[in-house]
This record gives sequence, structure tokens and C-alpha cells, in this order.
Amino acid sequence: MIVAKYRKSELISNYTILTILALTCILPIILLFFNSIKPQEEFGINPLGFPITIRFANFVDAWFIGEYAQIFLNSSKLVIGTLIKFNSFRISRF
Amino acid sequence: MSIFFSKNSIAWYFILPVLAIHFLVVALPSLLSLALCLTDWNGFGKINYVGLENFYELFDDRYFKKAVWHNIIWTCLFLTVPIALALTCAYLLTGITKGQMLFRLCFFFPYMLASIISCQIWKFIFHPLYGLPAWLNSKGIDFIPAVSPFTVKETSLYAVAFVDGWHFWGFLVVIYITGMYQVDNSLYEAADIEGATKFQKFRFVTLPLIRPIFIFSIMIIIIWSIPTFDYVWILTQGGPAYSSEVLATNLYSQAFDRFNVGYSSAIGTLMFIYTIFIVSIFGVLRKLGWEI
Repeated sequence: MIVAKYRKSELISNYTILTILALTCILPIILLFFNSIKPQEEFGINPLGFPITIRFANFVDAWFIGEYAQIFLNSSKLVIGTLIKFNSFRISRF
Repeated sequence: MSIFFSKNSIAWYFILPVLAIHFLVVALPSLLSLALCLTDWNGFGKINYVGLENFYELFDDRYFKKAVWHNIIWTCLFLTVPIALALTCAYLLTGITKGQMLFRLCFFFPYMLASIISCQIWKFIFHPLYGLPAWLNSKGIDFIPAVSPFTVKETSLYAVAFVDGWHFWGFLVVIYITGMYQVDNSLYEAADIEGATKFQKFRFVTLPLIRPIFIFSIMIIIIWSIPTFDYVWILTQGGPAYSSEVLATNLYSQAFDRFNVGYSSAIGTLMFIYTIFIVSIFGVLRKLGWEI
């Protein structure tokens, strides 16, 4: 571990660089979240900004239109199958 | 009789199911595709032995050469940009204490997303009507044309590499940070007494001491960039006029769009030989006494 012996100006530049890089990582994901709670009409007018009206029913719609119940079931089958396959040796020791 | 119930053979019985599954789903198809590269099979018809015909055809194939060249560009891009960014970031992160965990979380977050999600996000950001360039144009800043870079011949490969790099470099930050935390603090104190600058400390203390992790990261980048498929396929499917075609997408479209299964097995075999070649370079260097 490195002892932090940075001068204040250096610390400020460090934080600036790190903040810019962190924003490039996290802003697209925040945009994804913002767009997921916008209603369809607002999305065309305001695709990149903050949501003005919030519509959480999008998630409910997606769940039913995308048939996510079935999809989650398939995913969990895959996970359980993989876990059993790759850990069968470890299970067999008990 | 006792040989079937000795401790050794009972252990084998427990491994047997996994071995059988592995043989069925991994080893057998691999061996089959090694055999198929000498045939002209089209996926369902008769299998004819054609010798090395596929390979002769392959070395004349313009698009295959293009794909090889794109793969080399891809490897070079991933060996420079994400490593440089990640090293800088990890070094800066070890110097700060406040909010370090938050930064680390931000950098690692894209790595946790599924590839299809990050592809859709960036496809949307570069959307010609709703995306960022269009928004900038509407505000009067128009040096960026409002076209998606995934649909332009000159930029498609780099745009796809950008999205993959955006998703990947946070992982490098995390592994470099764990390496940097293992460096003994007294070395930095000694460097301080000698009057080393921040850059000298990085160059002569940090970099040599995280060398094993650094070499490991280079190795996984080279090995992972050979079969790169998902980002290219989701974003451009080989791109406008083969401009973002890499080996794996070339293989896939030959096998499942044009049904040249023998031909695509030949591509797969060459990829396999290439990977073995790279891994054996590392092995040979290690044998020669390089500390990698």
C-alpha cells in the first residue's frame, strides 16, 4: 500500500482524472436506468436527459411482454445445472 | 475384485460423470471439427475428403486475410489503450483514500454488465437520431457527424473495439490494484528518501513489482482477443462490407450463413494453431528463464 503523500494540487488533479474516467464508465449505465423509467412519449423528445415523468410500469410491461418469468426460469435452470456439473466432485465428498 | 473398490478407482468413479460430459460436449466436437477441416461438408449432405483444399482456398481468400489483419489490429489496440488507462487509474487510486471504493465500483461496473446490454447502450448513444452526436449537432456543435460509427466502413472496427475496451478495462484496474497493494510500503519510503519523483516511483518500484500480474494481463488479453466474437457480432455482424470482420465472425458466417462447414473448420483449426503458438511462446520464454 502506498502512503498518500500527495500535495493538495496533485490530489485535486488526481481526483479530476479519476472522476472523468469514472463518469465515462458510469454515465452510460445511468442513462440506461433513466431511459428505463421514461414513458414512451417522452423518450422521443428527451432521449438523453433526466426523466421528467417517471413511469415504473415500464418494468411491469417488460416483465410480461418479454415473458421474463420463462426467461428467468431458463437462466436459473442453466445456473443450477452448471453448479451441479462443475461441483459434483465437491458434493460427492459430503 | 478389490481393484474395482480400491480408493483410487472409487475416486475415478466420482470423476467419471464430469469426464463423460466433458468428452461429449467439449472434446468430441473439437476433435470432429479438426477432422472436418479436411472435408467439404456443408452441414447435412455427404462428407467428401478433399485433403488440404480448404487451406489453399483460405490463403487466397481476401476476406479471411482481412479478418486476420483486423484481429491483429484488435490485439494491438487492447494491448495499449486499456492497459495504459488501467495502469494510470490503478496508480492514482492507490494514492487516494477518500472515495476509493466508490471509484473502484464505478470502474468495475461495466464489466458486470452482460455484453448485449453494453452493446445496446452504446448503439443507443451513437444513434443517428436520438444519440449524443445528434444532440450536439442540434446545439450547434457539428464537427461530429450524426451517423453511427458502427455503420461507417472506416470506423466500425474501432467503434466495436471501443465498446469492448470500455467494458474490459475496469477488470484490469481491479487486478492491477490488487497487485499494487501487495507492494511493500518500505520500498516506497526508501524511494522517498532517495528523492524519487512520482513517475520514478511508478517506473522503478511499482512496475517491476507488479510484473507477474502485468505479464499475466498481457497474456490473457492476447489469448482472449483471438476468439473475440460477441461484441462484433452484436454490434455489426462483421460490419459494413467486412470492415469489422474478425476471425470468429468469419468462421460463424461461413458455417451458419453459407454452410461451408469444412471451410469454417479450417478457419477454426488455424485459430487453434495460432492460440497454441502464442501460448507456447510464453511457455518457451519461461523455460529460457524469463520471469514471466
